[in-house]
Amino acid sequence: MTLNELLPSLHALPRADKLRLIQLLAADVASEDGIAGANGDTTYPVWSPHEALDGAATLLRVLEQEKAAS
Amino acid sequence: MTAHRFPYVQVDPSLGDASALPYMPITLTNGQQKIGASALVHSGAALNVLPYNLGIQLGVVWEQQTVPVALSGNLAASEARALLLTGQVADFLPVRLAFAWSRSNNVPVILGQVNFFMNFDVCFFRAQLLYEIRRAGSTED
Repeated sequence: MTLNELLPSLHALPRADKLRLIQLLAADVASEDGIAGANGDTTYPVWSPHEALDGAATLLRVLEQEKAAS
Repeated sequence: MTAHRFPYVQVDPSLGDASALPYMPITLTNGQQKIGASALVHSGAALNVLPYNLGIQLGVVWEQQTVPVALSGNLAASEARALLLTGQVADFLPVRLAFAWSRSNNVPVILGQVNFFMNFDVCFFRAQLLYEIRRAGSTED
């Protein structure tokens, strides 16, 4: 199947599927070129406790307790 | 010392400056136990985080830490407990730092708002791949 034959079907894809296709093709090209990078099959964890406000309050309380005891 | 500048560190040289992050050398002490660590200075983190293995290296016993700390995001999957350590950065005087000691090793040392940023003023110069630290309240150059 040629690209010209595929194009009508690709254009008819929903927006989300088009984005997914772009990601897959970019990953394919990167893989063929031996470039390590982000691809759609890999999860990259973000180790960020940016909303751990309750935990932060707990730590402050522990610090205050130590200060009061010293 | 009133201010100290640190370079950003490329965590993945193949990605160059895209992977440059403000990792800072810090010495952590628990009683007589002392270790050097590389810590991520993270202004978006609500609190400090310590991976499990570093706590063990510092001689801390998990079962003796009784205060649970609620974490968020991916970190929420692992239990964490409050741990007080002493930290020293460059030639600054040591400060008491409170950590959420995670049961996971898959996390860097994170220095966040509580209470690293309560003790140090930090200014990031990302374009220059530098950041500057001084004790909170210090106005000298």
